[in-house]
Amino acid sequence: MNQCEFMKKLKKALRWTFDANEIEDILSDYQGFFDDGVNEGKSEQTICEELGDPNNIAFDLATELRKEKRISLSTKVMRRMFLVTLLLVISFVYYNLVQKSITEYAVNRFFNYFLFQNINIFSESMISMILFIIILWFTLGGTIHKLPPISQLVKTVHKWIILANHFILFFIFIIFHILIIFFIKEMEGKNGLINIDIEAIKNMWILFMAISFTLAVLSIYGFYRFTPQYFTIICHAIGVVAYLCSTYSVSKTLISPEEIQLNVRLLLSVYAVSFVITIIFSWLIHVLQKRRG
Amino acid sequence: MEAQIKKGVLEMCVLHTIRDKEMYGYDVMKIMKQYFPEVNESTFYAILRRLHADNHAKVTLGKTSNGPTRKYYKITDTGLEYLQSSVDSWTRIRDKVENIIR
Repeated sequence: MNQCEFMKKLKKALRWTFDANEIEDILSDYQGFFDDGVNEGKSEQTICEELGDPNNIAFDLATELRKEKRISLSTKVMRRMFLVTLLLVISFVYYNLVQKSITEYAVNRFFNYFLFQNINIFSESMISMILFIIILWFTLGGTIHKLPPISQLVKTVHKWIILANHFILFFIFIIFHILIIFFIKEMEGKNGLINIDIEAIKNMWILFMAISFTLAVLSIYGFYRFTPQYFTIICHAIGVVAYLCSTYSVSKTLISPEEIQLNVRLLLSVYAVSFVITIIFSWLIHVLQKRRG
Repeated sequence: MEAQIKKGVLEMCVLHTIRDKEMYGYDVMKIMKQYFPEVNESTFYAILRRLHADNHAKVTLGKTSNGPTRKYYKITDTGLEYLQSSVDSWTRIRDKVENIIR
């Protein structure tokens, strides 16, 4: 392996756990080690062998710096397991939101009998949103792992910012759904205008979809550019996929408020499932890391 | 067993290495490697970074003759206290174990 390949591999491995500043710092350190080795007359290959496998370096750094809060995915096996799990989630999302078969009945039953009985959709959405913000808090907060004391305050502030972002986006999403429902209910009252109005609603929906898709792509790019953690990027990409599937399926059946309510419930269920998978996965990694060390 | 014991003492050894004078990271890694050839350099590098993050070591930047700035690690006051208590713990445990296995 030459220096170039080594540094590339190291950068790639670090991206799973560390942010841009930390990565730059670590890479410049290793650049220095290469320069020293070259000054001592060693070949690039010798230096690479001495420094070790970039994946192991990233893993050691993550373990030593107690980065378990962010999932340390610096081994190939972990990464493959993670990607397979995510592919399963994507398939599940697509199948259930676009095809909407088995889960339709199950989701409605769950929401009606275990959570909400005869509450209007606005309250239901608000309560669901708050519930999922709380779940998000726990998955982000890493109750499984202890945070290092110094950075605790920073991470707390950071957590609030993340939560606020998610809350605002959810809020916009829910409000838009409510507006469509009210709009449809009003139109139902007037006769002979149904066809035209459905078209208007669909156009509005497509416009909304286009705007939010653009925003989502921008935010994913922002993650990639400024805090290149693959885990975060992939999670948000999944969210975008789920969102697109739901908006697509809603746009096909924008006739009844019940349909829209179901779609909102389905999307919230998918969100909950993805949280559960995240928790299970980070617990698994935590256990495996402990066994290693 | 050996891995678990090492986990505890390596940090103490690294901290001791940078106790008296500031040292270049790579040199620390090389010295530690002489004592623990079976341990990866990256482990010592990671320990140095953690010591810095926990404020037990401070980093100063120095220029070399041919260009790149180097990071020199030196112990801090808190690091000195931490080292002292680590060494005390180590000595206590060592003495107890020696008594038992004698």
